Amino acid sequence: MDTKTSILSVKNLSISIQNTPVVSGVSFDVHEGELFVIMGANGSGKSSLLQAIMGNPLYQVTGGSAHMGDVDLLALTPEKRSLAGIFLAFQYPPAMSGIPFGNFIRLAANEQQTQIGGSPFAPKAFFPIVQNALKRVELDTTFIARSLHEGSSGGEKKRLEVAQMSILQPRIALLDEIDSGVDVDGLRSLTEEIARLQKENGMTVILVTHNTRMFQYLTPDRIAIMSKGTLVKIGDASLAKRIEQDGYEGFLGEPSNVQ
Amino acid sequence: MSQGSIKKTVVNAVGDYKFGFHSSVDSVYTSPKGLSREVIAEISERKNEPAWMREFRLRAFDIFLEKPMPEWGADLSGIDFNNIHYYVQPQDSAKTRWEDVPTGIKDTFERLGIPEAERKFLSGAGAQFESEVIYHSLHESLSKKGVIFDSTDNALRLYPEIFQKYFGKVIPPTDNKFAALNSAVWSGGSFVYVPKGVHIELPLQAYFRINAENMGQFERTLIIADEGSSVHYIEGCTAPTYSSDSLHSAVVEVIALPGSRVQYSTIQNWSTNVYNLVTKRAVAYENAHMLWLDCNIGSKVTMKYPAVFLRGEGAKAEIHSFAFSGKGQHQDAGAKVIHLAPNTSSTIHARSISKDGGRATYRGLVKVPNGIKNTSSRVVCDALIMDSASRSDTYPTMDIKDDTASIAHEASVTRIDEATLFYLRSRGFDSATAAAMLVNGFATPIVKQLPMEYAVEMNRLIAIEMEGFSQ
Repeated sequence: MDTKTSILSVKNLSISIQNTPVVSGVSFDVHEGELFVIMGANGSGKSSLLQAIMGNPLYQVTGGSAHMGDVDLLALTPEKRSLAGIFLAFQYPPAMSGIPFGNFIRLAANEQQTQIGGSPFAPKAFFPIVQNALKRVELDTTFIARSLHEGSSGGEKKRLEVAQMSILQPRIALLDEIDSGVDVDGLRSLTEEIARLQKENGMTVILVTHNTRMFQYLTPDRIAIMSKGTLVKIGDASLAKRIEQDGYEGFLGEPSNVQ
Repeated sequence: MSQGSIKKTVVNAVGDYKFGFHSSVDSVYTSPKGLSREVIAEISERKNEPAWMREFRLRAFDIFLEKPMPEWGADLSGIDFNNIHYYVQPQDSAKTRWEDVPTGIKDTFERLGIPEAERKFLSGAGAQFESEVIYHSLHESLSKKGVIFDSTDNALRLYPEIFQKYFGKVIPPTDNKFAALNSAVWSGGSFVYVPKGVHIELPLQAYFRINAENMGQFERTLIIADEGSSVHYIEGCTAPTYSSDSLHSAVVEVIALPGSRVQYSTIQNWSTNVYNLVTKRAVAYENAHMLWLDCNIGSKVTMKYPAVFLRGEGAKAEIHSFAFSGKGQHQDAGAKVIHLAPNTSSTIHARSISKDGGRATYRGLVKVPNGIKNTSSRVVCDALIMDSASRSDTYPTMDIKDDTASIAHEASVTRIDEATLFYLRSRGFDSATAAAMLVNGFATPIVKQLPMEYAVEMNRLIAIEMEGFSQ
């Protein structure tokens, strides 16, 4: 483990929502290019962890640290974290009323361009980029002109989240329940796209899920299990088998292998 | 409710009002401050008007004096009628070529981008500076078809028959105190006549500029769309930012004859020291279609409720309004539709945004008298409140006396949603940019009905208003 480069280092992180603790003292390191899966029952704190890493002001960090390399993430605004290369695919993305997807994602790409001193994309030049990203998640081009996430089904929203990831090409993708509400065909195309970005760009993925359905298509490097706001176990992909057989309850009795 | 439509008072909310510059222009004549029979007689005299118009003005002045200030709506106590110049004549006569407009005035409109807009996407353009239309022009192909687009003053002289037939008939001086005031001191504005069956493809635009301090602008616009014709008229307006208040009180009358279609679009962006009290009303005859698109960004106080009287069977009214109220601003805007014929329909969609203590009010009326059969009306009011200091109120009056009417009303109030804002920030947008995107998205259903060039400008104006926004 020490021979690999850590890209994200979370130490003793505690999180509260409106002064109610939801995550307590979680520590882990994620390696460059890794597929790191966080599993756990509903309400175990998985989503809160991703929201706090992205910088959602509603999730108050009460202790600990999170670094991307030397960068202290907790000192950055959410937009700066995004521009530093972190992307969060939301479990429940809100509707962007009156904001067409094509415009939205072009403007986001242009924020990145501004950051690196590049020139902004004109709508015409950007069109094939969006078209291509939609094709990869098997959505048709009518989504370009539609308000982002407005009137879309649960599965379409997940596809639109992954399409954004394809375009923004983050260094670290935080994927929150990217499989829920997605049909079998959708699951295949979304996992293919995740795998492609890992392979071609060396993208690191932290994937939160509560079931093992995605592992037909993606093999986790490691799986971490959360329960009641703490990290109770980190292991290899074989943990998935045990979860399928015993559920999450099975891990609660045994000693944790994480600090 | 009286038909008071007061449009423009702006408070300089965000510093970056790019139209707040003042041009140094000597006027040919400025009436002394305050209003009297002498001032009115002098205006009429200088305009060399027929006796009937002079009488009309003086009668309107009496009505103005008799009528009390409206006791509802926005706070108008800051208006000092004695501290206003009611007539400021900037040059000797209206020009039809920009080259002939005096340099100081021409430069002002160049800075506002008006001549460029005319070349690019307009059928005709007019420009009013202080009290007078200083420039107007119409594409030659349209004048050959008999279209008239001129200043209202010129129309009184050149087309007396049609002028007298319609002037003051839709909005008589008795309508409300500010309509009476306008009737007494009116000057400038546009006169449009579209002959039978003529369709004007590109919009006609008039631009209104107040330049002097303590100035009252009282333009008077009259649009007549003859049977089966169509026209889209756009007005824009700005003023320098002064520490003392100015008054803008216009009257706009539209006559949509059978089968015609009229769209009247306003982008009101007065500086935040202007009281904007405007009366706008259209009459729509058989199968005519009237659309008011009313965007209010600027002014200190606006009271304006564009109205449609549906007088002919099958006539249709649409009123779409958008209001932005920033610091110190009160946009009291809305819509009125009176169904006076069977099988008429109306749609009202109002969206407002209030921010930094700004106040947005929707005030509307839909009326269906007993015996007017098979009408339908849909009213939708949506308010977006950006912070806890800001305020939104809705007063939708439905006066429905016939039970065959099909009436729908929806209203929503939303606050800027932190979860939505965070989603945008997680994509790399800072708070102000994210808020501007949400606000522009909110305005989209209304703004998209403007021609593209104006929609782009509106989005830009909204983004300027959102600068410095953070949570």
